[in-house]
This record gives sequence, C-alpha cells and structure tokens, in this order.
Amino acid sequence: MRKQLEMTSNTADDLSKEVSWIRMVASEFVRSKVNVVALGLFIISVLTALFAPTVAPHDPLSQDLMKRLLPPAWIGEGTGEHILGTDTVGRDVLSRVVFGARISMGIGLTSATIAGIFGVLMGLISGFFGRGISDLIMRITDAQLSFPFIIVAITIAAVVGSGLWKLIIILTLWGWAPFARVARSSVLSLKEREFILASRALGAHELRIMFFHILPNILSAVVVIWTFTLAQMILAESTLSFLGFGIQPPTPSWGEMLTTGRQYISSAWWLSIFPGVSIMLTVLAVNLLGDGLRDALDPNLRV
Amino acid sequence: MGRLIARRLLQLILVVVVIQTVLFFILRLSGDPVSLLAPADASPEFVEDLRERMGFNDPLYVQYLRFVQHTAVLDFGESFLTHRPAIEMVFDRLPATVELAGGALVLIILVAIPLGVFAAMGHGKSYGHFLTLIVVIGQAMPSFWLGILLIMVFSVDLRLLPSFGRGDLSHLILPSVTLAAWFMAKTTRVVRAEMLEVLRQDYIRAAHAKGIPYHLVVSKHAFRNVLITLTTVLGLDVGQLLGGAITTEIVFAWSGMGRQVVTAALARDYNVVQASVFVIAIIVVAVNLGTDILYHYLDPRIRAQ
Repeated sequence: MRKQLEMTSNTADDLSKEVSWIRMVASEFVRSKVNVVALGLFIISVLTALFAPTVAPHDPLSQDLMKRLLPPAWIGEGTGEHILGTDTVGRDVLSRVVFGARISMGIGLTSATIAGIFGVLMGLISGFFGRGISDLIMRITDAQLSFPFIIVAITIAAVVGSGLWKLIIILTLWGWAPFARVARSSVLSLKEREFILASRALGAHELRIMFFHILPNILSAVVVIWTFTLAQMILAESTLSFLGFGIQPPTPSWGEMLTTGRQYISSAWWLSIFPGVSIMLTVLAVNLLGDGLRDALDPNLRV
Repeated sequence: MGRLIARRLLQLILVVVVIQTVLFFILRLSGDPVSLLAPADASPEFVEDLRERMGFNDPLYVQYLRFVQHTAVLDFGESFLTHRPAIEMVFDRLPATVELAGGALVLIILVAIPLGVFAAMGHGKSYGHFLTLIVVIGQAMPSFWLGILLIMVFSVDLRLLPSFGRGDLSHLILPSVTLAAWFMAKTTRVVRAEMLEVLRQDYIRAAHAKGIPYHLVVSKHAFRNVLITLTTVLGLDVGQLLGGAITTEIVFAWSGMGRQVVTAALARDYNVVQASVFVIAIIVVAVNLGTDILYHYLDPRIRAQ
C-alpha cells in the first residue's frame, strides 16, 4: 500500500522536473569558461590520482644514484627519459608528482567527505534538539574556527604519531565545523516553514523530517562547502607533510617533496617548482569549482 | 561596557581551563609518557624510579589537579631537551613570532584593504577581473611554497634580500609577505564582497542623489560600514596568523616559537609543546576579547543597546 502511494507520487511530471533542475544548474555552470577550465583541471587531477601507475613513466620509489639531480628535459643535461628531472637520489620527479596526486586527492576527498557527513549530522542534531546540546556544539565550532588548526594538528601528531589514517582523522576533526554551522542555521530557518509543519501534521517522524525534508534542502549549500573544504584539506595535508607530521618518506607527497626541494633552492629549482605548481593548480581548480557551483546552485549567493 | 568586559573575562578563564583539560588528556591518552622519556636501553628500575619521580604513579585525578595547579602559575615543567623551564623558552621566542605576525598584519591592513575597495570599484571592468584573478591565485598557493619561490627570486637570483634569520627590516620583508599572502587574498576578497554589498544599499543611492562626490560616498558612507565586518574577520585572523607563522618560520629559519614548537613536537618534548599551545591560546582569546570591545566602539547600533 505504502509502496503504491510512493509510486503514484513519483509521476513522470516530477521526474522531468528533477532532470530539468539538474540541466538548469549544469547549463548555468558551463556558461562561464572559468568553470569549465576548473572542472577540467579537477577531473585531470582525479584521473591522475586514480591511474597513477599507468600515467607515471617510472616507479616513484626507484632510485638511481648515477642520475642524481638531473634537470628537466629542456635544460642542459636533461634527458627525455626524465621529463621533469630527478631528485637527490635519482628518483623521477614527474612520477613522484603523479603519485603525489594520489596522496593529496585521496586524503583530501576522504577527509572532506567524512568531515561533511559528521558536520552535517552535528548541525542537524544541534538545530533540532534543545538549546543545551546546540550551544555546546556551537561553542566547540567557535573555538575550532578561531584556534590555529596547525598547532592542534602538530600537538596531536606529536602524541599519536603520523600516518595516513591518523592524518585523515586529524583533518576531519578540523574540517567538520563549517558544515555543522551551515546545517544548523538552515535547520533553524527551515523548521518553522509550512512544508515541515505539514509533514509533521501528517505524522511524520522527526528523523524522517530531518533526512527527507530538511537534508535535501541544504544539500546544495553542503556541496559548496565541501568543495572549499576539499581545497583547505589539500593545502593542510601538504603543509603537515612539509613540516614532517604528515605522510612520511619515501611515500611521495607534494608537501614532503617540497621539504627536500627547500634544501636545494639554489641548485635544483625543479624540485620545488613542480610539486608546488601541482598543489596550486589543484587547489585553484577546486576553489574555482566551488565558486562556480555556488553561483550555479544558488543565484542568491552570488556577489 | 564594564559588564561586557567582565563577562568576556570570565569566558576567557573558562576557555583556558577547557584548553588545559583537553591538553592534559590528549597528552596522557597517548599511553605511558615515561616509556617515551626514558632512553631505549634504560633498566626497569630506572624507568620505575623516573615514573615515581614524575608522579605518573598517582591516580589520574591527582595528576590532573597537579597539572592545573602548575599551569595556573605558568609552570609547565622543564624541556626534556634543554632542561630549561618550558615557559621561559616560549617567552624567549615570543617576540620574534609577534614581530613576524605584526609585519604580516600591517601588510594585510595597508595592502589588502585598499586593494579590496579598488577591486569592488573595478567590478565588471578589466582591472577588477585582474585583481580577482590575483586573489584566486593567492588563495591557492601554500605559503611555504610562496616562501621558497620568494627566496629563489629575491635572495638567490637577484641577491636583494636576506633569505634567513632575524635582523633589520630587510630580514622581515620576505617572511612577512609569505605569511601575509594568503590572508591578503582573503581580506581583499572579503572587502570587495562587502563593498559591493554596501554599495547596492539605498542609503548609498541617497548619498549619490544628494550630490556628494563619488570618493566621499565610497570612503565615508560605504567603507565605514565595511570596517565593522572587517574588524571581526581580522580579529579571527590573528589566531590563524600565529598558526601560519609556523611554516613561514621554518622556511626562513626564523627563530620564533613556531619553529620551536615543531622541533619540540618532532622530538616529543611535550612540556614545550604544552607551554606553546597554552600561550597561543591565551593570545587568541585575548585578541578575540579585544575585537569584541573594538566592535562595540565601531558599531553605534551595538553601543546603543
């Protein structure tokens, strides 16, 4: 019976509306060339990360002491075999940059997503339930947003040590706050609206209201914050790895590559330039993607 | 006003207590601190003696109370590495970090705010687009990489500015630009967005209609309103500047507390880490208090309440 009801409500008309909304957002999004370029860069980063073993010309860990510090192909002793040159122990820089994308994108996407889910849940809880919980959660986000994250991360890393999952947990602990704040304020503004009252009058359970009526309404805001958080996560991961609290050598990560690069500033510039450019382009693409999505999803937010 | 300050001071004490508690438990949760302190080849008797001497055999709440008691008088114990009082080491390095953060803050205020106003006025024009591009790039660059690039160009190639250490003003230029860059981009963006928002308001149109010259409308009617939001943003940034100072200090071998806290954390010199976090927490909370009070003065609507 219930199933039937749901089926009849999903008429063809509803479905076409759904599709046309996505189409509308998409067409709004591609109207700006900047957005298209950003999306392209983002897709390239993700694909590079996914297919790193295929894309990379060499094993990122294989050393060759005879070929230490070779410059990029277009300079002096550079060879076509190592297009972006080699590092201090003769590892191929291009291959390390390619595999670095795995770490950056992998850690960024994972921690931004977990932070998003956790933050939205906390926000929904704090918007729905009493003042006590709500105040507590909001004070925690206040404190987190004003206190320098790097210090906290370093303290925790110093105690529990570093490693892939520890890094993801630290980043998640830091990144959930904006999601919680946005989710909470949306709940507060939505929960007195008529359609919520209506479904409550129809006897809908609180959880149903939370997940089927409120959540869909805040999704576009969440997607936008997720994008900006992703950019922050990539920057934070590279910073922590640069300082020695993140991914440990020999695993190639962009931040860790810059630690070595810094020591060879005057003799081997390519060790610093390529990982840095990779970080910048990725973060740039993700930030622009966020701007584009915000404009396309919610024209009211546009400045 | 007096009540506001009193209430905020009470909050300050509360926050500090919370930070102390969190710190205490994080550091104790990691397991047995003694096993980390003692040399690898230490005899069991030595380890037991060390544990007894450092009070790790007492119940947790006794340890906690002792910790609170000690931190209340800024006693964080000795550094395991240098055997000097941890808090003294932090205070020694504090001026360098404050100098760096101060330099960055000056840059943010002197460069980013006018740039933001300028970008808002160039909305839809080519220089407006150009500034937006710069801002977007500035927000995507990791500061430590920017530092490396600046050293490459200004120290290695051009030999214009020193690449490391503290000294006269020329030593401060590259580090403070490095630290400020991301914040300058953000502030420019905020100022631009706020300016565009304010310039759309009816009272701006009214001011134009009265025949007030354009630059006066922008500077007096629009900008003053932006200043209020800006105070809050900059206040929150001070804490983040202290965090950002860490990477900058590493890149430029700047002997501030940021570099010290990294060294201490890598060596698991907990007392120094604790003292550093504590001092930074106090600064952050105090700056936020100051921002609130300033906000109070700047916005007549709040003052009237």
